[in-house]
Amino acid sequence: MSLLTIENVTKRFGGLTAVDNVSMEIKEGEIVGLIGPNGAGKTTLMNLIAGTFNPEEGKIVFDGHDITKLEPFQVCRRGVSRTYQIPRPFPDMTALMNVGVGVLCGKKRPNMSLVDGMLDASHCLEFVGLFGKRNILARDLSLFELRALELARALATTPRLILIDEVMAGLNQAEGRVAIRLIEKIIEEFHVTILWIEHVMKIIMEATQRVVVLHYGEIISSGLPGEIANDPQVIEAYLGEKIA
Amino acid sequence: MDAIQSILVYTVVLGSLYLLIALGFSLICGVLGIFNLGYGATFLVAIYGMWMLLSTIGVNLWVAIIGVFILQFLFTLGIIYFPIVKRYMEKEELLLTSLLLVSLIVEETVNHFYPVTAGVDIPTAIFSHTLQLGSVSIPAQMLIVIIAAVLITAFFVYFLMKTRIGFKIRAISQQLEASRLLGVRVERVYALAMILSVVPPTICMLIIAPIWAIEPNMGHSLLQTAILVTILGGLGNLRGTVMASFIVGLIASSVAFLGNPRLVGMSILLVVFFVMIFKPQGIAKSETLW
Repeated sequence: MSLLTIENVTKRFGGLTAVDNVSMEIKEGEIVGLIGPNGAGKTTLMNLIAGTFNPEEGKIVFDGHDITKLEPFQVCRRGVSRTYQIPRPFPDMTALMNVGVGVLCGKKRPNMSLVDGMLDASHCLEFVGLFGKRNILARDLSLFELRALELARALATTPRLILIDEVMAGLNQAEGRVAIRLIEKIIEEFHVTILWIEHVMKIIMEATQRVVVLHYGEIISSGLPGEIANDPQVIEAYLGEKIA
Repeated sequence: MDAIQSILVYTVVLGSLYLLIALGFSLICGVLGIFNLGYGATFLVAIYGMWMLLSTIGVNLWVAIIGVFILQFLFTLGIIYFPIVKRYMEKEELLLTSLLLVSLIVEETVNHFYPVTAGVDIPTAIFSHTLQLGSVSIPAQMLIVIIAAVLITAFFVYFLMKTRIGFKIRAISQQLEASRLLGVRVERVYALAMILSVVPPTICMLIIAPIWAIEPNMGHSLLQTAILVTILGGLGNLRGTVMASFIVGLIASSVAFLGNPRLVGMSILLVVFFVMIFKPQGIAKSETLW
């Protein structure tokens, strides 16, 4: 069954068409990679799904409900969560409180006390391996820890779909491996569906089940990772960049 | 010796007063990240709303006090927040101009119905005598200002640090975008912050009305005080705002008792000016609200 359906979605910024008549579908439980050269519209597409922007044309349906015009908090409460390429923590809150915001606001929980919220948050932190850092201010965490924190915050809202915007950027190989393992663990444990933007092709090829390629706001190719790597159009879009 | 006593007493008294004046402005600055130039009108709504209820409509004092709070909430949500702040949040020049216009319209309206010559008498004095502290004498009513400043600040800090809504307010002030995506209903929290922000100035006006010079253009200097204290305090940090209030109180009383009372305004402006040039982030250390 299709969890997310994007139908003919277009988003313009002034004269620039960032996302151009894009249609795609993600099934429940799928891990879908979203790739494309810089400026292809990948992050814009994520912002459209999350409700940060509203598209000029087209329709976005999540779990049978039209979410095209919903506010970000409504999209979140329906079960869509996202992480940022450049982490956006609450800098002067502890790691625990950062996750607590997701616990207390990500779903309607009017009767949950702050203390109960923090308890739930500590479970999420434990899951991503940050329990030991729970009382550290987010501004003092390393990039790797911030990425893990973003994932914990995303989990805290009990999502069904997680939009991941570049987990690997700026991490070294060892950290990258831990991050990938963490995402795999999340998929295994919570059975979430994932739409995953990543520049490191190796990861996309290994970790995702299907890949969608954006170029100048349009989908130019879509298919199994192996097929995509050999698609001449994709290779041309990357203009000599080696894939796979 | 006398001068030092006077400076100490007045630092506390003026500091508390400045704190009550600036607290709401500072909160909005910290949470919504805007300068609420309509804040000056809040003081007018408090005083003249009270006066209208008492003199023109003729209700008793307690009904008037409740009424003025309702009036204040209606004003801040119905005229400041929903039509202007919410709509022009991203368009700063429209936002600031509209807020300024509204406060001028309020001032003109007040001036029309209750001109300076009409005289305003609000009987909210709890003490009417003066108090002798060593060599210093102050209106005893000023003690209430100090108590109110302590209680309201304590309430604000408790609210921000210990309640769920306070938690959301802090999240928004630190990372707006992430708050939205984690499910915070930002507009609702903004509206609540707007309501909170008019409480200290309203209480402040009720307390000082009996001992203050009331006139329709008093909003300007009060807004100016709020802006200066907020800038000095680090644009919305409450701890900074508390410190800044008493620093400004200290400057004012020192200049008044050791120098020339007529240079008080100038010296405060100069200090804030130099802080802006050399330490634009203000005196507060962190970016949090507290």
